[in-house]
Amino acid sequence: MAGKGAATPATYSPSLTTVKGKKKPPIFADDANWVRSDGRHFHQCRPAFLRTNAVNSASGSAYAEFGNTKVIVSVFGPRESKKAMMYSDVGRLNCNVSYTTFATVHRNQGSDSKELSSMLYKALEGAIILESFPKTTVDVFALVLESGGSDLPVIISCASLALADAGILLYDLVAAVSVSCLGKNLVIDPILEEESHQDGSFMISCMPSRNEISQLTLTGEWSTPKISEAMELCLDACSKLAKIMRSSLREPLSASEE
Amino acid sequence: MPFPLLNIAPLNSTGSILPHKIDPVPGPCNFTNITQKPQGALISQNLYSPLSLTLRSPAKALFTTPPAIDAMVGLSVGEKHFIKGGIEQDLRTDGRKRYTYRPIYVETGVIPQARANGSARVKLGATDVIASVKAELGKPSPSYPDKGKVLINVDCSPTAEPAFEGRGGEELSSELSVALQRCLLGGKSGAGAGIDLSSLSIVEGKICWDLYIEGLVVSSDGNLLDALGAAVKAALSNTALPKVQVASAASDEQPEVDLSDEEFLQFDTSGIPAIITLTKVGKHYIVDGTSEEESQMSSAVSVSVNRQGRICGLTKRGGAGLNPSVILDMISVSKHLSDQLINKLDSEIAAAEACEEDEF
Repeated sequence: MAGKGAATPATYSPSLTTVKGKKKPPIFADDANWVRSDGRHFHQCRPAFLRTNAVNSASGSAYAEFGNTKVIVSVFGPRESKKAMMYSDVGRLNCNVSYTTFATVHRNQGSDSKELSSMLYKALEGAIILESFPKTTVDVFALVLESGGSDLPVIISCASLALADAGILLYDLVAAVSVSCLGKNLVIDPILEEESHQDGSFMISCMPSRNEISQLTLTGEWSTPKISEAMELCLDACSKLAKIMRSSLREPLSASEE
Repeated sequence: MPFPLLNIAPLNSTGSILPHKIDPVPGPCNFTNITQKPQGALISQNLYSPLSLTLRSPAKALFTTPPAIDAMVGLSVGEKHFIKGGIEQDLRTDGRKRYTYRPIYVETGVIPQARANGSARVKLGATDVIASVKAELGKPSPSYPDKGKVLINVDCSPTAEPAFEGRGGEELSSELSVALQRCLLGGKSGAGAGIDLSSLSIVEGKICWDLYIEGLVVSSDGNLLDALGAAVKAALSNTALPKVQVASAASDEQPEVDLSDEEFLQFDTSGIPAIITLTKVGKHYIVDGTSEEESQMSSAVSVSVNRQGRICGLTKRGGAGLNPSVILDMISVSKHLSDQLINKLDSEIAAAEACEEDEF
């Protein structure tokens, strides 16, 4: 795993920023002057650190660190599908998400990994050119080393990077970002503390260069204008995140040239 | 592919190939449709279908159907074109328009009171689901002491579809449960939930109601999520929670409670949203798709909308990506449709309750 100081983490923040000033104790009040507990603005994402080739034995792997959320994803295959499976002229995708026992404050408190696995599958299946590897299976294993909020979007982004690293044909990289609704405010890339107090959440995974949303979920009560605002915010953040992901794919190449 | 059905195929191929192929509307019992097309039909398909220029032997074709829903509905190329073309021209195979629902039939109190506190059965065309609500006294979770708990679980029985046997139904069950939870229970803190969790609290931090909502798919012909959402709503309005007498106890002790046999409290269901699934086939979207139509979908978006027209939950199914503007358009369409559906559901539920009372 790459050290933290290896590269300066690139920050990204979508436009549409309405800067809220003044420091105040971090309380979850419906207050326009409130500053988030990690000092970010409402519409500012955490610094993203992405690195490919984190696991040597895998065909492709990636490590992602967004604030305290640390995720490692390995991709194995394409390998022959199990004999028991029926013939398929398109490839199969197999996704699995698990939490380490020390990922959360209380042991084994991670979110339902089965649900996360199916969400990861749904977010990625539309981006992979499954026709390119018939009769075979690609395994995507994600491990959450530390859960610090917005786990699913980080897993999805990291997994698509690992797929690209493994040389699996993709239509586009999948970038995912979530937004929390706290009172009247929309808070992008929420940390764990914010997620537990949220009134609603909105998550998008998209393929920015195709301008396509591969998966989205929404919970809580939302009005239509708020949804459009959240979507605009997420899409902008996704396209900026995708740029960082792309550059992290190029990074090892430029290093070897030197 | 279900094994026993494969044996039926040769029997069918002797006589009933033609009527079966011409009739694009499957009969009420579409088990014959599930079996692969007889050999003769496949070859004649090859003659005019551009997709099957590569000659496939029928035996191989058995396994080329992509997994999941498409495998359950065996459709010929002609039938697929018929469905897609119909949707394009706003006239679907059963004569409906794109935004028309099948008739909804609601029945409440289908399970005796001793087994469940409330129950309902909803039929949407050939889709048939049952929802039951069981209430038990429990302890609230430490993070939300003033709220009750609601658990939603969906079971897909193999009686509905042979493909649901064993693990086959598990995937769909968990997908439906998660979608229902998202649409009805809101976020983690329970804000924006259709079911008011704080109304389930009895003694703060000590006792609350735990609602166990179980959905059962009896027969499946598409649009399961909408039907389940309607059934849960009907079952909750049918739910009677016994009145609880709390015997005063010291603050640190678990208080003693007494359940009344005579007095019951009705559950308020006015805030429960309706779920509307828009299935995208080609360029257009349809509501209340049958399983044949759903097999042709590229993606589907389920939106839950409450009476105030606010969105309470959203999930997307299907692999194909969607343009952001399409999603926003789908949301506004479902918002537009929700008014009608909620009114229709409310009147159906009221009629079902009145009908149930007449029986006693």
